[in-house]
Amino acid sequence: MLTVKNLSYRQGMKRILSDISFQVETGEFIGLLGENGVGKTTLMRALTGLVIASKETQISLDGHRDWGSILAHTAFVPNLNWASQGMTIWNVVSFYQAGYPDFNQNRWQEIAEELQINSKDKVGHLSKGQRERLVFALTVSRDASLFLLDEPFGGVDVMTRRKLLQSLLRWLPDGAMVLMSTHEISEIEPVIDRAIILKHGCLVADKEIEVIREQYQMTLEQYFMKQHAMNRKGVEA
Amino acid sequence: MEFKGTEPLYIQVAKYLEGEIFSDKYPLGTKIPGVRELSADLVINGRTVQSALNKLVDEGLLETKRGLGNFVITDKARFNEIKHQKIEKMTQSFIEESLTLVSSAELSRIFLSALEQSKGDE
Repeated sequence: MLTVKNLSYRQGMKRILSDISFQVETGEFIGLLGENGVGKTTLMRALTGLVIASKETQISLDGHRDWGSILAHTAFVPNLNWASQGMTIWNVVSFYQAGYPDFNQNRWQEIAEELQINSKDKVGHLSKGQRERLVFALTVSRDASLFLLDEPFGGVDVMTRRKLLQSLLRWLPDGAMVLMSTHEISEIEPVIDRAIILKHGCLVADKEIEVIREQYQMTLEQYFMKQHAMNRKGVEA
Repeated sequence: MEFKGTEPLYIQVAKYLEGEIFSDKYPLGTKIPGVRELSADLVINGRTVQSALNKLVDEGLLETKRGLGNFVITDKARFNEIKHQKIEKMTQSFIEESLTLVSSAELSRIFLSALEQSKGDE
């Protein structure tokens, strides 16, 4: 279980994230939604200690509170900037495998094949979509407890998006928790258990999909639009 | 599969699987794929698939064999009864909705001529 309490983050005088609290239960798949610049990426970075959240922030993953243990159980590939352009994908994988003892070689092979990732290709020669697929495959190949996927669908066509989602559903270890940010709201609606919506660095909604449909009689997209039509006091604009 | 409107997803998945079973994709006594396989194939949350399967077990169309998975029931009479009930229910809601627009005499005329038409198409 992941518990996040009172997570705030400032950059100088600017508040990027304000007092965010939520929980993710074992096996839950969460969609992290919000317009560009609302803090989705920063939230993921704060969850892994890549940016330092304010001191009242409390994060615990399966009971672990220290960054070393949290990182060891969280699969997150924020980018490929650490890999030099001349490295082949095979080099990248060996590097990653050496760094993470929970790297699952069999799963990597299955996913790489499914997503047509050629391990002889050089990182510097990959298209945007190919880089996204590599980041995705590296992330999902670990036997982690928490998986953070930051807009895995950028520059990826609809058939590949479907393949990525299928790989996730097919290969993730039992009980894995997923937090995935995306703009493809209607595509992920049937895949996620719950949606967390950020707006201006605040968490404005945290609802299960079936509750949105059954109680509010809305699709996730309609619910998302409604959250955006409301101002910060929760009053409709 | 495509989702419609705001009906809970697990109900739509249950209807979809029911359709697959009634259309003989999974004949009497056959095993339904596991939750993870269905979830990946249909690109649907695993818990949603599980709830849909539970619904079909509750309705009596599937039976769970411990450690083996879910199977279509083998009792043909019971199977036909469930199929019959489903069609009756669909017909009932069709009639109720139609009667808000036309009289029952008019509906019966439309229905019979449509039925005649589809017989010709077969």
